[in-house]
Amino acid sequence: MPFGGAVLSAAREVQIPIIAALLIGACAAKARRAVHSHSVEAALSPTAMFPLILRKPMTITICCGECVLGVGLVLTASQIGAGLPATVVRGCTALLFGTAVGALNELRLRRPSAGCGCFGDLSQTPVSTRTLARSILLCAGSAAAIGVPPLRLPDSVAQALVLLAAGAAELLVIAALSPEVSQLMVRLGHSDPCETRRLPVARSIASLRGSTSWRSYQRYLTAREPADVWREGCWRFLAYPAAISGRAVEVVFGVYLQEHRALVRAAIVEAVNLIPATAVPAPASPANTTWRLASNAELLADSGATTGPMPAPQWTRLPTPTFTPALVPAPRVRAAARPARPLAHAAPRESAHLHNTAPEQQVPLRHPRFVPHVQPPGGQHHRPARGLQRSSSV
Amino acid sequence: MRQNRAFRQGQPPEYQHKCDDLLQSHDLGRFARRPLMRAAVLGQRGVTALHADAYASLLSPRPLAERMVITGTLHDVSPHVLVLQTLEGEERLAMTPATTAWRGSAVDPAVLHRGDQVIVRKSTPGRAVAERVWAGIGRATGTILQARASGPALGTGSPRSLELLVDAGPARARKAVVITREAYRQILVRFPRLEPGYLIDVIGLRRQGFLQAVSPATAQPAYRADHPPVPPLVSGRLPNPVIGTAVWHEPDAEPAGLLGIAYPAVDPETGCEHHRVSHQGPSHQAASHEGASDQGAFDQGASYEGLSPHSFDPHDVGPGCIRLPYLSVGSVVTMRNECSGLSAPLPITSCGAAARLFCDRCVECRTSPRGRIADLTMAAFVQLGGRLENGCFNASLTMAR
Repeated sequence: MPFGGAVLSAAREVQIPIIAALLIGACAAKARRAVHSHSVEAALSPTAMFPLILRKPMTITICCGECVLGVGLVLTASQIGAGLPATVVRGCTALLFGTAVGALNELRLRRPSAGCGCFGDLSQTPVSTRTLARSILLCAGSAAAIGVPPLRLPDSVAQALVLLAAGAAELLVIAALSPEVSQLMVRLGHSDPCETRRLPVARSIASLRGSTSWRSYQRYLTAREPADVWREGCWRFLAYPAAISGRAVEVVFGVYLQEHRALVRAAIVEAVNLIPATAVPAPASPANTTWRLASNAELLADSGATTGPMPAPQWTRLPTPTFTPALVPAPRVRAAARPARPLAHAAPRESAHLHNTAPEQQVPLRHPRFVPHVQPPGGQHHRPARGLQRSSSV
Repeated sequence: MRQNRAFRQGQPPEYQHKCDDLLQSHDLGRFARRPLMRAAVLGQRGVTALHADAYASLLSPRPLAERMVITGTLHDVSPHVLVLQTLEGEERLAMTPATTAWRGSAVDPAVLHRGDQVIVRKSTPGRAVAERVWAGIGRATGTILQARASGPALGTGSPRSLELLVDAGPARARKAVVITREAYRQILVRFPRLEPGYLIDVIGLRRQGFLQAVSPATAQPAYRADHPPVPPLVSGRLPNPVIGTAVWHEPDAEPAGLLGIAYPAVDPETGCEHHRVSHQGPSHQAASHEGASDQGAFDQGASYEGLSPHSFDPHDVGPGCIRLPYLSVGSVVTMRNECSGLSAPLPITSCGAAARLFCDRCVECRTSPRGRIADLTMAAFVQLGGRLENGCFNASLTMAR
């Protein structure tokens, strides 16, 4: 047999398994969609062209027809169903795809936005020339399969290679004409955008407590739990009541919603109550709601520097002394880690360089503005990070 | 670390006891402060004016003369003057030959009834001239829980009337809907399955304790309410703005003039998920006086008690028909009516999870993409130039970056 004839024969032979696999796969996808949505009509968009009373029977007929033809192609491919049964099955398959070409063309004209319903609406891409070309290709393949002798194993390696090449080429063409392939690829490598990703609040809090911003502001917080938590797109915000220099403020943290190494930002805002307590309407009596509330929404945003993002307080890290106090032995290893005498630098001292000189005048003790070592009653104190504890005790 | 461990062990923090319900909350300022605190954290300036505009209807209501939309009870009507009784006082509006009115259908404004709950859009905010008037308009959107035909069939295949019980979502009260024989055929064309478990969305007249359906607001989806289709996947960032359909809902417990959004994708972690109101019966706070004399109303009794097998939480069925960014009550978004060109910053005031069940398009001016992106309050819908009797407009929703 010449090479061209062998290729043509191989191309006709591979139509049967490929079309059978497509039909069975399409039927299974439709059945899966129908079972999942508890609605038979949801499995096939083209039936929307039919009257309501006919949609369900048509859907069941198409699905069952695909299954029967797919199984029939497999059964009649060998010697068992050779002859008339094989011809009938392959002729019906060609008729099915020919009808599909007409139906898809009609669907494209009457409902341009509807998908083809193939493979259980795996892709909702509107019917296009590609979809039509695929149906025409399958129709032609089914017609070409009519009269193909019963399938058998290839006689030689060369024949097997020709068969494989023909099958691969047809699969590539079908994949190029199928919008479902791109949808399938998207599903395989998909990751939800951060705006639609569901992340529990506990996860955000865990990310927050491992951040530098949390360690900077933790000492000023007056409550363990946030007073308010909300989310906007990719950010989750947590507002904690706090007190700085006797002023009631709120520390607001913004945690970017990602799995690892979440970005955290923080700001200190004044604890301004936008709504006077007396103006809150009674929720149980909407008819009596006046909603005459004070117009002081600008207080927070116009409060200037306290509204903007603030860096960590700088007064926690005092500059290193320029010389070593005489009464304190020179630190050898990690001097500032835990000094033997806190506040020793403020005690009376004498010069280390000049003898027989009068001691310096006594200076009053300097009290640090924030004393992180003070334990609150009840043992509820959270131990700050070692680095901050060290720096604030200098 | 100790606190982290406590969270992992499932100890509920304090804020979780507070449902994000702006109307039920005793601390309204908690929600109003959120956009400002967000701007403070992200270092954004110039949000004060936007915030003031968005929360104007809640924090500082404008005088009646400066409002574009006025809601109230019709006190008196004459061929040239409309007198409304509002919460702030009496308001007189002039009517011109161009003024149109709706009361079940387009009617002459002079035939409106005293006592009707009306919503009026003025031609310009500064002038007391009514442009459009809607009287007694209502809407029922949600899942059919019960359906009952009443009266003998007339031989044409349609019952005398149909009574439905509609679940409008977890944070809304159930509604009773009566479809009269006159409206039955028109509604049946768009809603062929008036059975429990399927969706319905109809516009009608508010009566005493029920809604008399007049016209369909959309076409019925083919799927059951608890099995909406999966939206197409989105890679990368969501588009901003999101384009889709904006609809409106009745002010059940909200103030009538509230400008806000019932957002379909409120953050389930801190939002209204699984937060149900007590279903003691249909809630129509404002009903016309003539409704008391209507016969054949849905029996307000045992029908509303207990849970229906078709009742479900829309949050449990997936993201809905369109992928929207998760936001919270209090967030401010900018809504734009693509048909009229009007836009306004609006706060999210409640959860509109039932809107995510619909995959419809709006054809108000062009064909919109599938999916409902916002369920506006009546006042906000009218303020943005929407027509309540049409039910929707093509909209875009812009989230603050």
